[in-house]
Amino acid sequence: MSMSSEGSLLPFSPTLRPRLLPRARLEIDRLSQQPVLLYPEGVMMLNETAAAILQLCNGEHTLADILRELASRYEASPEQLQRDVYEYLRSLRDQNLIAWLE
Amino acid sequence: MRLDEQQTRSPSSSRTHQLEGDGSQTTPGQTLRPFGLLAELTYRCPLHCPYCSNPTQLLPDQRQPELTTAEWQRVISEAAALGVLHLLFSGGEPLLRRDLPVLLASARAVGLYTNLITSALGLTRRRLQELQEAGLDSIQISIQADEAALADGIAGCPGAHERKLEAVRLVNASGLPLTINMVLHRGNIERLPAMIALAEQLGAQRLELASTQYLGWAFANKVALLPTKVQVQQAERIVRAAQERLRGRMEVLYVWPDYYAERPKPCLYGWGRRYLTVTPDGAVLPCQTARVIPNLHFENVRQHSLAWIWQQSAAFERFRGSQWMPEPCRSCPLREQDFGGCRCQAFLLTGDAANTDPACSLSPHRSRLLAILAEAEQQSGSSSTFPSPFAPDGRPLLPIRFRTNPKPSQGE
Repeated sequence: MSMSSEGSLLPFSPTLRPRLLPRARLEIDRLSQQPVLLYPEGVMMLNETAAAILQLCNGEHTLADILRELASRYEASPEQLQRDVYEYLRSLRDQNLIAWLE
Repeated sequence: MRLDEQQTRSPSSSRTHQLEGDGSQTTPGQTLRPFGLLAELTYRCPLHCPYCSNPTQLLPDQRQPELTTAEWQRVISEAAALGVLHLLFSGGEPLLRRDLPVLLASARAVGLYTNLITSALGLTRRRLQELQEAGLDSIQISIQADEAALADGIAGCPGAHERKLEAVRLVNASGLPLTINMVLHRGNIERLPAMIALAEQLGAQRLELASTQYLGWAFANKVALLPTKVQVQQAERIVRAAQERLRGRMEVLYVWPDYYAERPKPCLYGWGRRYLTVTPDGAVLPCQTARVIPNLHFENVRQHSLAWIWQQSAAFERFRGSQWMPEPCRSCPLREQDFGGCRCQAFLLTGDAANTDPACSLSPHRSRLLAILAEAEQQSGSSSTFPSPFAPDGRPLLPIRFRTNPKPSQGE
């Protein structure tokens, strides 16, 4: 995989297990019935893909597991999927919403 | 607490509903949705911070008893039905309400994300356990400075700083997510590196560095609290470096000082668009300082439902959309982005809440704001640094009005 200088801020090893931190909570929004991520002073309305990624971020699945699982659910090239998932996880990490377990 | 700095990020793989700016600015109240409710449980507080956003005075008809437990529970369930996702328990000092765990449990029962905005005075191990068992999601503790003497001087409360540090240790041991809030002003801005270091040492997951907003008590103390432009620029550099260095470990949020900006802040992302405040006596406001604006009648949850007040009341409709705007806002391409700034600030600086916020350089009343800066500047002489309004031992060196509690009220 390629690592941009920005990307190198993240440990990209596929054996790492991302975990949503306790400060963030996944809920179903009662008005829209859509999944929503709640965290201190923040609201992130999620589409299906984002919610699927977050549900897998429980500290048990490795990054490789998550990519495999998503590939089986969605039609996307592995490269595209990997790029999207990494970018999303990096934005969550930058906001201190996920931790990486070795 | 700084509700107006709502943070959202969109994952590239996700369509997200951004809190700021979704194109619905001109829709009426019926289709606008509040995302956050600030529940001011009480105006009582052990601290006397001279920049408090609480009202400096209450009119006789605003000195009503605090809402009861049952009244707050009704407000909470009505808020959830209206679309609110965040409930911020604030005050005054919300820990002074004995029924706080009951209210937290009510909030969690309807799926709300709960945050306690507190001085942490009165947060014992047992109290914290009660709050956690009731489902508290996160806690925000205010710290006034990096050293006890100065911090206690700013808060007007001897011993407060040490008690806060003890409470932080309890919070960390409990595993509850911690935000540290530090309000920046001339009395502590030179201490910023040490203050950031303290927040790191305290294990905060989030640090709010909030420039004083000159509303409430802060407006009364603005000449003593305003930093210089040089101080502000230096602070910004320090914050940016800290944000970069701490990325992924501690979220560092910076609230910029709008007195030194060219464009006003998008105050709460527009009047009656995203947020509600319910005051201790049940008045419903678009923001916590709105009662400073005269000739607006804010309805009370004791007489009306929260939904009716949000959707129908005249006070909430008053500054929605852009029809109310004067020039230069009315034809400004940024009118849907900054909403003309802060209505309370417009009133405080110009006498009319419908004017453009003078924090905008295009405001015809800009000179009022510049005059205040000049008045503060006079204190600095030829120095680029204003003298701190506090001695290192916390003694005030300038005339400062410390916050006082409004008349005691009954209730819970």
